[in-house]
Amino acid sequence: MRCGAVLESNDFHPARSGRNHLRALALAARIPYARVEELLDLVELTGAAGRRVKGYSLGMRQRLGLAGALLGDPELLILDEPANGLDPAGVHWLRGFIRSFADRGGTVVISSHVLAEVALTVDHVLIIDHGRLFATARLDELTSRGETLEGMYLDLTARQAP
Amino acid sequence: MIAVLRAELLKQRSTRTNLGLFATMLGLVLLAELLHSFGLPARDLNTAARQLQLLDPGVIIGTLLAALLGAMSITAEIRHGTIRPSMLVSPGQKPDTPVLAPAVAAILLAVYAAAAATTGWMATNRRDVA
Repeated sequence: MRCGAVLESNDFHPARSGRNHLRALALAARIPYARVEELLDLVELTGAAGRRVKGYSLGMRQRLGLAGALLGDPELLILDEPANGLDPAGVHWLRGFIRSFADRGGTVVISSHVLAEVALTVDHVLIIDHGRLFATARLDELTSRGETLEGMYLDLTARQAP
Repeated sequence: MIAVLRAELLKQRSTRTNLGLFATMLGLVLLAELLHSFGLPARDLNTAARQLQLLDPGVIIGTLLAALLGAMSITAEIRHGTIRPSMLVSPGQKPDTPVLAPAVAAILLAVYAAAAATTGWMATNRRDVA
């Protein structure tokens, strides 16, 4: 299975341009440069692609990292706190992107502490606390009694804490 | 390995510091060669072997700067975390070693040093043609 991942939001050489960062990854993975331009367009960084990453905002870095993870056209995408540092428009864009990725048959695994944001995006939830799996269910099943994901999380982890 | 090496070479070319260092390397090597060539009296250059020895100072300076570039590319990968995407993007390369990219940079350096050493060897072992 082809898999893409963003593990840290700031894994860039500050003096290298966004385009060259992606091109270096593309060369290592034998992916044509045309795919790099395609992804720069997708994450709306074409205009800033020639600039050094040093001048990028956190949101731009998040999107550049996402473009890197998408280079190999993955079926499974792993994101760690993807909404961190994004402005409201960026969060909205990310939500739309994740949704459409999933709708096209892809799987996105998101690890996040921002439960309110997660509740707007995901289909399926795994609640993990201190390395222990507390619950795994569809989001709509978990919150069917009118509870929020946050309430559910606090409830579950408090009840089973030692 | 070839693909990873090509990526590493692009990384070398894509920061101003590295381009500056390459230019410095070229400039210093040329300067050393010129000073050495023009500074020697003609009678010291009467055999092919001696003429080829003119390359020696350039080889030494070039090797030193290559070592600097190699060390910088290794440490930059760790310092800026670019080692993570570098590893993620080439999973089949060497799963047993967490130091793929620095190793590649070191290989680049070793290749350069070998080339430099070969040039030096050729310079000192060439037969006279005069």
